[in-house]
Amino acid sequence: MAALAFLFTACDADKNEIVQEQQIDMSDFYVYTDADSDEAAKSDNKKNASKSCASMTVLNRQLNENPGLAKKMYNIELHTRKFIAGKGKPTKPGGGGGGGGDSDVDVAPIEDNMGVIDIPVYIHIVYPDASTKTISNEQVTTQMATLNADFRDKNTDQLPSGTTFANDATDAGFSFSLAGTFRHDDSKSSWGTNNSVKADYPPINPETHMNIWVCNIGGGILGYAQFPGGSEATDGIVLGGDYFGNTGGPYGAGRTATHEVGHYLNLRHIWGDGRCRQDDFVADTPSSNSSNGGCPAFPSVSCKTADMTMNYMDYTYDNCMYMFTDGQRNRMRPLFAQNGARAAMAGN
Amino acid sequence: MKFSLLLLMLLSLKSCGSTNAIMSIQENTMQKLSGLYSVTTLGKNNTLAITPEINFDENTNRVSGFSGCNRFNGSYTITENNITFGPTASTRMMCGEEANSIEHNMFDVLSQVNSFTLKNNELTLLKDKIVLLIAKQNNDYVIEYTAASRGSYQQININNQTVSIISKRGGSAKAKTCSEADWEKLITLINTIEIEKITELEAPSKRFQFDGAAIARLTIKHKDSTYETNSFDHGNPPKEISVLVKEILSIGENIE
Repeated sequence: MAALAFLFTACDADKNEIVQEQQIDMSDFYVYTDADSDEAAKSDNKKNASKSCASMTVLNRQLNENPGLAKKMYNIELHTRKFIAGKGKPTKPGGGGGGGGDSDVDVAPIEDNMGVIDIPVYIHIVYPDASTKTISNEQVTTQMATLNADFRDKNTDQLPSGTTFANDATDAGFSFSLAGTFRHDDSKSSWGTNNSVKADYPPINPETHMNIWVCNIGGGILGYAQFPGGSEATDGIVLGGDYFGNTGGPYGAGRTATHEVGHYLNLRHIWGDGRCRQDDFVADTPSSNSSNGGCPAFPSVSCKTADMTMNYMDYTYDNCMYMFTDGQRNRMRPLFAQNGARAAMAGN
Repeated sequence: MKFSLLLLMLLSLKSCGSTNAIMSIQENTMQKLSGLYSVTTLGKNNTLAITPEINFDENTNRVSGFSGCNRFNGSYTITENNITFGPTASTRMMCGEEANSIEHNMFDVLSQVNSFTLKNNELTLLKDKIVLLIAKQNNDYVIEYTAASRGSYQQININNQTVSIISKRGGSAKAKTCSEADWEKLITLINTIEIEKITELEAPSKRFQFDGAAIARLTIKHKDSTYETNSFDHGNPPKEISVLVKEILSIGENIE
């Protein structure tokens, strides 16, 4: 109930913040549980009782399922924005998703003095035959190599001519070190996306280590993640074995992991999961109407500007995505600063 | 409604007694009055310069529409094959002479009619067996459902002629004829929702944000307007459209 009340008063809380300290605009923020604070407040005000009740029911159910999650995610977002603002950068990372306008928004990387942040990784391989016959050691090695490359390289040489994205491509400043691999034989052939693999093979030290489960997911899902702020018991990412490390085919270069680690580090899909006006909270990614797939020729235009289809947070083929932006970097790193959701991972 | 239509047709069967009439009984008993109709004939005029529209809602017994110049709404009552319209409320705009004349005739007709027939999407309103108005049900809907994850893509397009499915991004469509029964089912379901409001529906879950579900959207095009839902999880649509989505997916599945 407290969390619910919080949602409805979020806007007022913002106003207080403004008076007290730096201006942190949270008005555009939404959480994944459901109706964002804005919409919840709107439906609360509506005369139409049945609609209001319907969204209340949904909101109540989800908050009951995971009390405090909405508040946790809000606090993480507020911490992120305060941290970035404290480094003298704009506090409202709208822009790119604000409905068109200037497509060439340049964000400077923040100076956080955290250097390259190392994330230790546990890998749980769960298959009927979980031996190297199914998932080879080479897959593990190449997957780690891909993560280490993608979170350090700018890959500006791969950018198509005519883009203004070169100054956005960034060295995100993360490295990944393998802390252990566990192989579990399990006859279950398809695990879905409801976290059941994590329940059967719980994460190890999720507060200090990133856990990766490799299993067959099914249903056309290559991998899925959990945003920071979620339960520790399910913290980590899940990848289908066919898309883990260097395998074959359009998703055979290990970039499913890069995309899911992006979510694990608080990144949203580059199109903001909605139409042009829905933002990914990152200023230097152009607004986009929906996901892109395959290997689009440049420019692939939506919302009047070229989409950044080569960003890891789009849905394109592995070999056709190769960059994070400075804005995305700035969004990931505050998690590891003092009071950040993953601070323990960096010893802060 | 079905019952009264059946009675109506039995009556007409008695009077002409042809085998064609028997065929049309079966069709007509399926048809529902709910929906939007465009007026094609008003009194003796079948070359209307402006097309009035009537929208029936069987759930509330309300009628609304466009009378040539203004928008109107009111109630109607049906007993067996008889229909009467209650007083109508209307906006009060002035239009040109032609529009005013059509509007005047519309209200005149609605106040006089006392029976109706509904056959092959054509509604006829009569006064003592004299035809005063003929209207065609407007079902030029185009339905589009897409669901995409990073590893899968599905797009189903349905109109009153064709069902087509695209199962790969940018891929070509497989198509088949949309059966009358399927189309009738879809129109019935569409008539139970307010399509203008699907753009406001909130997804009950948003697992698509972290790839836990394919991201889905439903688009309904009608006349010159396009109504598109917000993104929702494939497999868990907003409850207002869940039966419709289930039907779309089921029609789409049967194509292969």
